[in-house]
Amino acid sequence: MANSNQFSLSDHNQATKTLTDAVVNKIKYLQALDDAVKKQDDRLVYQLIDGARYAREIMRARHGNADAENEMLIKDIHAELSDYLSGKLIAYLKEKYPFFYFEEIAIGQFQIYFGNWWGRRMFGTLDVLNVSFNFDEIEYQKLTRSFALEAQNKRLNSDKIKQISESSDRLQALIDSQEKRDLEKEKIRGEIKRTSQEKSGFWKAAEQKDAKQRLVGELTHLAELDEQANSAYREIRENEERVLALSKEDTLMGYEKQSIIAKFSSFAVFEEKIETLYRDYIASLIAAKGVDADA
Amino acid sequence: MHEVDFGSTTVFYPGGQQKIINQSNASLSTADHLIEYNKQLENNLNKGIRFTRIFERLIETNDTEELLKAVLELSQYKLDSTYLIYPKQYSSSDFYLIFLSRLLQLHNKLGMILQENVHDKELHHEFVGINQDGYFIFKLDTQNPDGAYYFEKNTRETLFYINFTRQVISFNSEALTNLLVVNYGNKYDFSVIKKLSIFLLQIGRFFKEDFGYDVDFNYLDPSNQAIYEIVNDKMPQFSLDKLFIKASQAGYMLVTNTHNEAQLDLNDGTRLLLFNNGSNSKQIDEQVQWVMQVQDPNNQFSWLDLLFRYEFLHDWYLENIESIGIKSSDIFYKGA
Repeated sequence: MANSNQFSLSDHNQATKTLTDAVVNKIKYLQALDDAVKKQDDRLVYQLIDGARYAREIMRARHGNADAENEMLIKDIHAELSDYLSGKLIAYLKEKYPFFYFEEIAIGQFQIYFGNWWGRRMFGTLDVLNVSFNFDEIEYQKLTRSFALEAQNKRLNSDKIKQISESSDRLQALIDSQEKRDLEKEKIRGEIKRTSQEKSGFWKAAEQKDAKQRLVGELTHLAELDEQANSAYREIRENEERVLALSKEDTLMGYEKQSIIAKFSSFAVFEEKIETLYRDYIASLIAAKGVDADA
Repeated sequence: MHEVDFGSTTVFYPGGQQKIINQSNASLSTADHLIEYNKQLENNLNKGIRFTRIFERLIETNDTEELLKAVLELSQYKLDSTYLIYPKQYSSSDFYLIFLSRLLQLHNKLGMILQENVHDKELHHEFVGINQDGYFIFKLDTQNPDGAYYFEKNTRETLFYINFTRQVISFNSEALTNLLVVNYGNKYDFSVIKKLSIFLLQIGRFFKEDFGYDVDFNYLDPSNQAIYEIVNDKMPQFSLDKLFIKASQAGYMLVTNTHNEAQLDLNDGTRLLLFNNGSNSKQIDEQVQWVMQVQDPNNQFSWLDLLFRYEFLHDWYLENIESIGIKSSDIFYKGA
């Protein structure tokens, strides 16, 4: 007998079906991913893990079959996915960007080094799942500026090095002129002594005071220079170290620029290619598969 | 006048019994002295004769073993005695010089000239090409009579140490740099200096091959396996940075290779490596020892060759020698 006081509840059969459908949908998603991985179909893996982006960039569809919920299912295995996908991706990048060196610092996590030369820079990280470079902003800025300065025929640190070298020259001159200053001080002290001993009339007193003050001022100035000369050796040494670091940076930036020009002919082309990396990579996967299918 | 005179042979004692005993003692002693004198003289003449036999071997034998034996005997030989003094004698240094010349001669290597100094009759070596600038002699190791230093007299640079008992030869990097690279380098073509370095190498090699000596060629060693330890055992960061810049200006690239070593590829497959050759274990007593290594397809270039073939390496080495100067073996200094 029906109890009319109860709320009407949903049909259990319907609920069962709905849930089963939902579970099957997830299973299908995971099954598809499993198949794709087994077949080493990286293109499909990329489509499955980020359907929205794939639709937008590859199929040029405004509303793609985004599957954000299912994509959430694999959130905790991103490291493993990245590790798996890195194989083909890095092989591709090595060919297209031969000057980048990748170091796996944890499962699926990669650091990028620019070049293999001595003192090469750590240039950022590789985002395998999104097929993109996360360049270190500071380092990337330096590279950009370095290219910009090329028009003026300058290197990144040319101005700084020039400035420091001039400062060292000035310090060296201070050291070299110590003897001259010592003689000068001697002379001024003598003059001061003479001025104070001279008897002078009322009218001359003010004039004499001025002269003395001027001499004391000169002496103070010379003492200041002496003090600077004392620390000059240390400063020159420090300057040498700074110039060395700057020259080293200029040298390795020179190699970075050469590498980019050799492969991309200009920095602008390099930047464009960085922008379209995802599309270019997926296209290469499609092309490779096409070749396989033809074979 | 009637006193005992040992210096003369005539002793008369026309006295009593006791005196006669004394007298007979005294005359016996004198006779003994005469016999002793004759024996000593004969011994000494024989010793002189024996010396000439050994000396003859030193200057004439064609057998390297015999040659070595001769020089070792002569260097210990005491020719003089109370009865016989030889005014003209060669020193141990002279014997060693003769020995080296003969050793090279037996191997048909010409160019090392044995000369006698007209003033003091001292022997010395000269080398073809640098005759005026090289006056080489041996200086004995005062701590160890079996050791000697091969020494250039004018510059006081010691090229190598040899110890005949321990059977070792050790070349001295400091002298190689000061004498060959800087001093001669400023005056002569590399071809001349190269010849000298080949002589030095050959001396070491003959000792190694003929007598089984342990030879440390230091940076004359052209073998690819040769590892030259540098003075600064920590990573010479500044010096490496400077090398990176200098190499780049000369058109070569210093790279970090897959073993994390600094690697500089030069011409024709020649490669310079700088790396930590200490143990890489994470133990507390971790040893750090930075070294240089020169490799080439024919095992023909040593660090010395590179110093002359690449100006930027020459400048870099001399400017940073306090940090990346190549060390000499401890034995070289222990001998001192």
